[in-house]
Amino acid sequence: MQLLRFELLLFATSVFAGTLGAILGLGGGIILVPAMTLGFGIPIRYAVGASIVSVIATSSGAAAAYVRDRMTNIRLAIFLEIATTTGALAGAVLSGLIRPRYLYLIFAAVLLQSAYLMVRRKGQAEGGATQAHPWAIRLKLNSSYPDRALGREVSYLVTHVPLGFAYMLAAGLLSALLGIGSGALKVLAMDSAMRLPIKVSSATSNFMIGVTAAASAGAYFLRGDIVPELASPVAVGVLLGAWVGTKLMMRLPAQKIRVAFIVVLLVIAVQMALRGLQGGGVS
Amino acid sequence: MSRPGNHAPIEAAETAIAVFLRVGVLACAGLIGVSWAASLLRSPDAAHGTAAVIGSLLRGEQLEATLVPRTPAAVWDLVAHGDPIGWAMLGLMLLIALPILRVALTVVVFLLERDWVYVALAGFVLAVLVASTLLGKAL
Repeated sequence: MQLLRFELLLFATSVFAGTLGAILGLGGGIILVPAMTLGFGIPIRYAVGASIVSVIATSSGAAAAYVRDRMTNIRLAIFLEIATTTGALAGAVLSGLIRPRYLYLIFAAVLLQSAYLMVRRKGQAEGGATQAHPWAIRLKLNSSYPDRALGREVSYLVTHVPLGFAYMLAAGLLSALLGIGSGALKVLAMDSAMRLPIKVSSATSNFMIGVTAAASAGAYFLRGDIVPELASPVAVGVLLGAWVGTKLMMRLPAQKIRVAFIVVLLVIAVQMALRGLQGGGVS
Repeated sequence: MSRPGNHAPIEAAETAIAVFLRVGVLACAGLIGVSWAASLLRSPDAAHGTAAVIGSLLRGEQLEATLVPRTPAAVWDLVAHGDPIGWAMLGLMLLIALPILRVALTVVVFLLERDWVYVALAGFVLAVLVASTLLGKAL
């Protein structure tokens, strides 16, 4: 019957999104929200609610790996979480006020930005701050990480802290509005603005995603935007997919998948933009 | 000059918290998964609420307020009636609470480390998390 078929299809889609997300280092939200809205015709507020729960699940589930590896800069994460959660608070409030069509348009813009970042990622420069920002010293943000390739501990400085903070406000805002992890933007903030080594940026960003998502999830729950019939298969599916993805990662041609995905992102971006321009359907 | 701060004790504690978090996620996912599966296996009559929800969603409609549990009390009510959707929602609620718990535990860690600046910072994050939940609802 229709109910069962829809639920299983949604579950399968979520597994796929989780797998792809794990392989590409992108969140499942980027795939899931368009899939639910464009694919199934579900109003965007419920798609965002379901997606944000899955973001919490994958981030919280994976956090242990990043901390144990000593890549995560915990003090920096907490300090920046002030920005991301504040941004998320603004986003959670805004999402109740903003018309759905704008969510589609913002989503399209984020998809384009993600595609651009994926193209750019190839030639990422390694950290290299030569002078720490005063706040970095006061707040003990400067740290070190174990570099496997070099076989020793590598120290790094943290710079442009206020700029990083600003990026994080935006990351939190987008996370709350769109039901995504905003991992890409967080990594950008730490890698480009604050000049942290890329491995540290990645790990710290992943560490922060769950807390950021939780800031808006509570609001969505109380507003009735988290529908168990949606959020359940999505949360479980994405977790399963992420686990599968990490197992498969070594064997798959990541580069080819990356290229294919950039194309897909562009197509979806156009679709989402069109939906927004057409009025976004019912919210 | 800047010396790297001593992150080791914090890292050890945060690793423990993160491992605890992972266990929590898996437990919640298990609860959600089993409950959700149970909800699908119900007879069409018993699954009336779910069918109405899915039907509405696929037509792109807004859901009636009564169809989506949105308070702990409403969730508890469903659980008390043995409705698997209630159990699934309980699992989802606990899942959302996990990162908030993580931050609260982090406040404790910094208290034990006597790092008052970070007690304040982590405490602030906790406050924003709570405020966001409540404020987001108000609108």
